[in-house]
Amino acid sequence: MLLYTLRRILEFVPTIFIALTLIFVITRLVPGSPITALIGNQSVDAAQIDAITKQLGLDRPILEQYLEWLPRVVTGDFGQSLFFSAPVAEVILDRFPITFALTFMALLVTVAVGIPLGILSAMRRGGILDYFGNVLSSLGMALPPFWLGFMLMLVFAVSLQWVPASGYRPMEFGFWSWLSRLVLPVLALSVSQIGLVVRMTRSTMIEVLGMEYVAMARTKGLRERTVILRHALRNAMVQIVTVIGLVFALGLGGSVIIENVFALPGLGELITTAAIRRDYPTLEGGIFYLTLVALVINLMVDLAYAWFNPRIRYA
Amino acid sequence: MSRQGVAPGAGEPVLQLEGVEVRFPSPHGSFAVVDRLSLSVTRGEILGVVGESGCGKSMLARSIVGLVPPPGRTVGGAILFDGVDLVRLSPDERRRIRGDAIAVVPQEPMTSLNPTLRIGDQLTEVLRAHRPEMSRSQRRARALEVMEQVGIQFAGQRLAQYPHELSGGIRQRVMIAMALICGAVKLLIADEPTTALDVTIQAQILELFVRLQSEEQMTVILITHDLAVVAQTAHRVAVMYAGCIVELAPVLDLFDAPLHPYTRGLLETLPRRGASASKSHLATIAGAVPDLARPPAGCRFFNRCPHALAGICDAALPALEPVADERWVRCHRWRELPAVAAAAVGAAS
Amino acid sequence: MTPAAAEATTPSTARSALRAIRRAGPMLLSGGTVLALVVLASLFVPLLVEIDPLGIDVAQKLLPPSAEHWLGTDEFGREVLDRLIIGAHISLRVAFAATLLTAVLGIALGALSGQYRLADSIIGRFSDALLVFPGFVLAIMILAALGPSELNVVLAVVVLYVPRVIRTVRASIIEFRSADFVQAARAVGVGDMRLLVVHILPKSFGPVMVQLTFGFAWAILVEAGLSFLGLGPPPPSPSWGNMISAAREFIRTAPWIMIAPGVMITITVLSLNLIGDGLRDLVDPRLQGKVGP
Repeated sequence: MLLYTLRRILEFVPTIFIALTLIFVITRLVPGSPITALIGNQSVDAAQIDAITKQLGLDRPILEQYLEWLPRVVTGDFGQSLFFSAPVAEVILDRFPITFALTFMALLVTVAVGIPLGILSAMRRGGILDYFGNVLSSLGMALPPFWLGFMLMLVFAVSLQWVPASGYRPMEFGFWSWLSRLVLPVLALSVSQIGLVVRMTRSTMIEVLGMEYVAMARTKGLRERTVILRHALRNAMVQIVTVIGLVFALGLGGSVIIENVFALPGLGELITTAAIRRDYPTLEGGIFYLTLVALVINLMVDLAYAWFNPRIRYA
Repeated sequence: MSRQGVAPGAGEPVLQLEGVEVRFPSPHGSFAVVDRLSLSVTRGEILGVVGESGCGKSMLARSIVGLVPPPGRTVGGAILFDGVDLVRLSPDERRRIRGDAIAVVPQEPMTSLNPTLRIGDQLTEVLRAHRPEMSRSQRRARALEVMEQVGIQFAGQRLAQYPHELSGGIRQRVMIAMALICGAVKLLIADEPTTALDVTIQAQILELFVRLQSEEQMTVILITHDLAVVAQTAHRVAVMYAGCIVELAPVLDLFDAPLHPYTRGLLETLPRRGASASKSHLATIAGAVPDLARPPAGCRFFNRCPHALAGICDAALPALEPVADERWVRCHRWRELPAVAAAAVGAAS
Repeated sequence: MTPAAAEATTPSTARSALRAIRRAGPMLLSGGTVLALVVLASLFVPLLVEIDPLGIDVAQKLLPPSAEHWLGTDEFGREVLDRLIIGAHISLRVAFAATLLTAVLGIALGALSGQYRLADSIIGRFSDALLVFPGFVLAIMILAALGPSELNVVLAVVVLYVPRVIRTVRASIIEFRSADFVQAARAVGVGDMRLLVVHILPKSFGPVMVQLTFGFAWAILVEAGLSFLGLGPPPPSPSWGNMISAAREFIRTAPWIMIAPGVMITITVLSLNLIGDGLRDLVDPRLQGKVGP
């Protein structure tokens, strides 16, 4: 297991380099100078343009820029944000806890609802629960999360006034005050994820329940609970764990848009703002940070996968 | 192999099936994969159940342990085990019998072991289910004991291993150990226990069955499509076709003088030593099993039988009738297929 | 197994195929009907009725749904229904173009990497790298670089989805390359290219179609999301995402402006997913319950 862990961590390194290089290439090599896009219609004098050009290092050859950029970025230094007069790293770390709280809580809700519902659907295939699970998951996956967010806002904040419509308040102002502003975003983000998890769990579980070792466990006279939990679920978990990783990555992507809906000052909101304002250092940093988190989650999923599956652990 | 034609302690039935019927629903109405089957299994015997895949022999086994896969169901008949009708028991009462008094050795030792659990855990969990009073160390000791009994070396190490680390032969021994671990097995159902194994391993496992059967004084139902396996181990043989028993006979009688045309067909498919050059190709039985959703009115073997007579054989389903001592056959015309019939009656008496 | 027994299993395979059709049928039919209605409405209603999605009439602004204004009017007095119909044009056009391009690129690159080892390692690296990013974030990055436009949304969706199609095509090519019928064809002298195009690629058609159907649905959601963030086709173009985006200011006073486009997106995506489910059941009956002995 230790050897496997080390190998996976080593494989992790080139992936990060590829991700960084892609970020660099996409943001620098597109037609047109970022400067013109950055400035747009505003009237800016030549001195300012020069300053920005220097700051971004755009006056130098592209390869040289890359070689200067890469080692700097690896240490977490993405430079100075063009719009927040602060280092990008600082801005990101400021906002990440919000994004993390949102995606992590959404993941918890998704797992807590989706996995049991998927298991029960598989166990009572063709039953009423299976039917509702299927309708619900199909609908959940078809709803645009941001629109669902507005609908939730309309019902629970505007009409019922149970929770505030939008905005964010740090936990120092009280736990409920913090949580009440996250309930709707978490729900909006969870619904489509739940649909996915219910379906994947259900089909995995159906596959596993059809396995001969599950039939054998029954033949041995084990209680149904033991058959399901010890024999079926344990094997299904191998697949389900990968789904959880996938869902977390999806959630990070989805948080970008949900944070916009609910005016949560998280990383996603930062990324979209940076994208629209063409604040490249911030955009690069934000995207890299999100990608890094997704990669770390993926790594953890791989390790969990091995933990559940002895054939990999000892390979 | 030293076996008598009749099992020791013959006469006392341990399992009696009376009109057992297993049905599956289908869009064209339900169909019976086991059709009103009656059979008595004597204490201490090895009964071979033979037939092509899909003849219902595995479903019969599942029906006995009460695990017919849904949407199939055992819809009728009685399964008397030591005088108790299993069909009438509650699901939990049936569960308590499975793995304890009635155990099953499956066809595929590879896929029947859970790949994510250690061998030891998979063995001892049977004891946890049936002998809750045993302590952890007692369970372990019993596991080691039974592994030794089935001839697994380095049992202590094996307990900590995963299924993928074991060879096919050892895996099957583990499955057998699992069946014996409670120490109270009266009926062992082996469903194609050697089909997935190499020929040499096959012989070892079959020998183990024969040895254990006499050691443990248990009754064995050996389900197989392979007549050679039956010839090596069984005392009696039931030949199944399309959900029914078509012939039931002591093993030597069956091989000497098969009565049912289907049995004869099966025997002809066996490669024979000393067969003449012109007949050295393997014979096959032409045609296909009838659609069980719309069973024919007459004999189920009608469409494939070389001796079928229209007007007789397709008119009514023949009954399973006694022919001689211990011999039964389900054929309208068995008397008219004279040479063989005479030999059979002669051999039996 | 005797040959007789092998024959005996054939009817049950046919039966399971029949079952798959019976199960897939309703899904394909309902999904197909709804999708056809949406497409036909967006194509033909403008020809039959006078539609003016951009016609500003301030006197008629923010009117709730009524007999006269079926789905109400927006902040400029434009008919929500009219904009919805034209919005279908844009959303479906973008998603369709993206799906088509994904199909062409995915099949070509997938075939290359299934066939040639060198191509495989290059293409494989690139698709792995693209799959590293949390999907939507990559789309934002691309649109931030290229600028918001219909075409760029198409490109972003293609970049996001093409690695998946490449994987599917590659996997089925590798699966079938060693299949008996391919070996037989090779033995009688069928050339590599012909083998690929005539014998192997058609086998991956089913799975790819299923994947593209889901991809189509997903493209609609991505387009809507990007438009909502202001990175899609720029206003006043009434794409469904733009309509939701513009309606957020009026969520308290005129929620109907926002409800309508969201419902349209949901219905369209749902019907596409239903078609995808139906196709998958047809293509891969293994996912069906194994019934009977």
